[in-house]
Amino acid sequence: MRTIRDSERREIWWGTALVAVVYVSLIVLAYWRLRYLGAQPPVRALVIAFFSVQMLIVFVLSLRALWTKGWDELSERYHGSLRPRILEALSRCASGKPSADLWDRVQRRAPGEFEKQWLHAVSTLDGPARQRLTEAAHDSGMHEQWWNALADPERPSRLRAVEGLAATGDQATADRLLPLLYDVDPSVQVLAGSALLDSGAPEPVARVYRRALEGSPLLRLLLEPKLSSYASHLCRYVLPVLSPDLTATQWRAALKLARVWRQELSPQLLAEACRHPDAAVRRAALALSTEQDPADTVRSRLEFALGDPEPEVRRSAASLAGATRILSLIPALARELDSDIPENSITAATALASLGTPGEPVLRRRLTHGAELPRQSAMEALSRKQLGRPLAVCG
Amino acid sequence: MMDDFTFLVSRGVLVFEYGVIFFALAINSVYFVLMVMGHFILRRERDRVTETEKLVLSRSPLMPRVAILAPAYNEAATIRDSVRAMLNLNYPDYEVVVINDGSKDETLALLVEEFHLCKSTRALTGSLDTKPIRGVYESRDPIPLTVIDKTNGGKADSLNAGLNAARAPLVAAVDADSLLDPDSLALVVRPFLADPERVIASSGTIRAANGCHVQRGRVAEIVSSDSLVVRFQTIEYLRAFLGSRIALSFMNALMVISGAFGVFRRDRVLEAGGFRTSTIGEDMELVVRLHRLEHEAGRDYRIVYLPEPVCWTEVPETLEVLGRQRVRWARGCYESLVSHREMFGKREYGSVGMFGAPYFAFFEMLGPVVELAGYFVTLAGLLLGLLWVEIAVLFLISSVVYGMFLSVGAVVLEETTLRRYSTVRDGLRLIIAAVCENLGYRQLTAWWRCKGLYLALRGTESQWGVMVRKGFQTMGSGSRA
Repeated sequence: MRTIRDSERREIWWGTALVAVVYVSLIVLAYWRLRYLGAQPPVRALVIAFFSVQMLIVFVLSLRALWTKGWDELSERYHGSLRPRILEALSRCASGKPSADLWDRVQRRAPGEFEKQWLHAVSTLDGPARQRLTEAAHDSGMHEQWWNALADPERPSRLRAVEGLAATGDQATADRLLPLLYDVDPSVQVLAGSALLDSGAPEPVARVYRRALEGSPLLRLLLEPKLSSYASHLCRYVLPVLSPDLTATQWRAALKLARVWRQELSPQLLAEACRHPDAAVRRAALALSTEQDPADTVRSRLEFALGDPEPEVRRSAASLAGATRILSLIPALARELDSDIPENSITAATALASLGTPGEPVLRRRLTHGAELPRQSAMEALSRKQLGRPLAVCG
Repeated sequence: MMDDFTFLVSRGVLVFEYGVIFFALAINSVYFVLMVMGHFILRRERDRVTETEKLVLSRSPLMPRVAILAPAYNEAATIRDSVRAMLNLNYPDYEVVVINDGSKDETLALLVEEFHLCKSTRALTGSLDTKPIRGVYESRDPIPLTVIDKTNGGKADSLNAGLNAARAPLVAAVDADSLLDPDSLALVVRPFLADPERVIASSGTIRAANGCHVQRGRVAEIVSSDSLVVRFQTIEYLRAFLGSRIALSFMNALMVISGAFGVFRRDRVLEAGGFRTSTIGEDMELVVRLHRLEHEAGRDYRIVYLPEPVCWTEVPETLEVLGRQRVRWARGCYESLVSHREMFGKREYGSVGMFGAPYFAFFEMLGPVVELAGYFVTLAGLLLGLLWVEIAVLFLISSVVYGMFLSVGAVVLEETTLRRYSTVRDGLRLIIAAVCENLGYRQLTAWWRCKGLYLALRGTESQWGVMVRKGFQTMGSGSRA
């Protein structure tokens, strides 16, 4: 925490005084002139009050802003002076020799700081000590306060409540946290989801996974690191149960997560996804298939996908064909290289270049005998290969 | 007879003066309301993105790919620092595409030397018309950098070339003389994840880097500049971004995404036809066009502004360069509004038609004209004895004093919410600058904006002019890079 130096304190006062003098002079001048103008007193009062009130707001806010650091420092000092006693109360409780009087006193004097220290202590302790602290929080009413705060309209209160309840980690808490997965605020959803995942119970974990699939990509992204701890369980047991009810977007999300986690899906589930009417789902399924299915299945799936009516699926298939280096797909890739969709042509060229020597003749032929787009695509793929740069695909 | 004429002129001047006072009060009151709205929105949104979330965003494999497009024209002084900053962002999957727009200085040579570039090729996936491309360069090092060297065609043309070459679903248009905060890209992309169906563009805050200390392409210490011109611009930026853009974004009536830092969905920009090369305010024009097309297509969409992601830019330090910039901005505003005048006041264009376009037309475009006319008539009226001093004072209060109040309000908003400036001294210097800005500087900018409007009305050919760059101040040595 930065301390305001004496020289700066002087500057604050001088600067504020200067600004105040300018403002007050202008208001006085305006009032004086309005009087001579013959304006009625209510009109004068209204005009002056209008500006004065606004300026007062700005002054109060600016002084507050200038001094906030000072107040922060002051409150930190206050909390700092109380901290040894808070820690003493917590450590006594954790060691089994509680002092109810001390606990009550420090909690009443600095509830926020007390809560912070309690959370810190609970997160670092384990076993009976943690249990004692949790019970003490229950007895002192903190637990009840958090429960009540779960429905608080203020976001910070809900966040604090979720954090506190998550630290206690009992089953009843998990039930209370489940509705918060649908809170209006995404931060609360994420915190509640994380707390439920920390509990490790199968049912809440499955619910969080389902919520992650239903929710926005942001929610999924923020829950993903914690969900990854249960990746195998979710992909093997939970996804097959959820799959009949999944929408195309949810399917896509589930397949993408499985790929990020490098998890295998059951062959039936994957086959179902590969036949999905939504092109994006087929693309995601295809990508996953190349990582888990045997070579023959992958080859036939890619061959089929390279003839898909959707250009996006063909593009994905071309990209995957390059990555899997299946030489028998060269004719299909050559067809895609001549596509009039630039992204597809470039991806096919990249794939052919990735295949090495067998793919290069196709590209070289396009340099001399071909339309402009395949020629450009072939040129890019060959030059990048020559440079030793990683071959990038489109989209 | 003469008395009658004097009386009539005197009455005319008085009526005009009352009109100007009413206009000044209206414009400043709207600014005030927007600022208060901004205050509450900022307080609500503050601390929404935690450090943990930033960490997840900066590493997650689920983040969408972004192509940063940085058009560069004679940017030798800052290009290395800027590109280094762009390559050091906390973002998992992105590429930097620098478009050298036929620079006459050693911009390209410096890039080639610094980043070990060699000639390559790249097929274009977009179909926007641009000036011929002379060459594509890529680094031998494992860095995601591509440089497109093209014939000079202006900033919009360069951005279109970048759009054609980019392959990511999101493109970030960034000025090559700017420094992005390490987390800025992840933060500005966040709305696309939170609301993927609706968000089509987002932007962050632009701040003056002059005076700040830069270390390895990052702003290491934020200090308010010693130059008064820079400090005045800092106030202007704060007022524009924190004062009105937050509220306009909240109403989905944001009509400007600064060319220095904005992220767009590539498919929507290509669908809209890319950046328009015939206007000098290509950033505003594109945003207005996107609004228009989205409404006409009947799509539910959002164009958002976020205060937290910051892009640092070197602002002009001389009045000459600043004047040219402001003339250009005023012309850009006029051209954008005129080319989409059909949106004005139409309910079918939602908040943009009903509020955004009239706000920009009356307050941003005509405001300076009325203000300057007010100063002129007040002065002439006082000298010729046609106006009471009391009315002149009232005009002074309604325009200048109210302006001071709003400028100070913007600084206070910054200090109570974002608090980028770490020392009390900086905050104080900005408050004093906010007061002084209204006594001379504001009138000067009004003059430049009037000049821009006049040139636009006359149809004089738009020119960018030369921006004299000093480069960023590096940490430790105190020298310029």
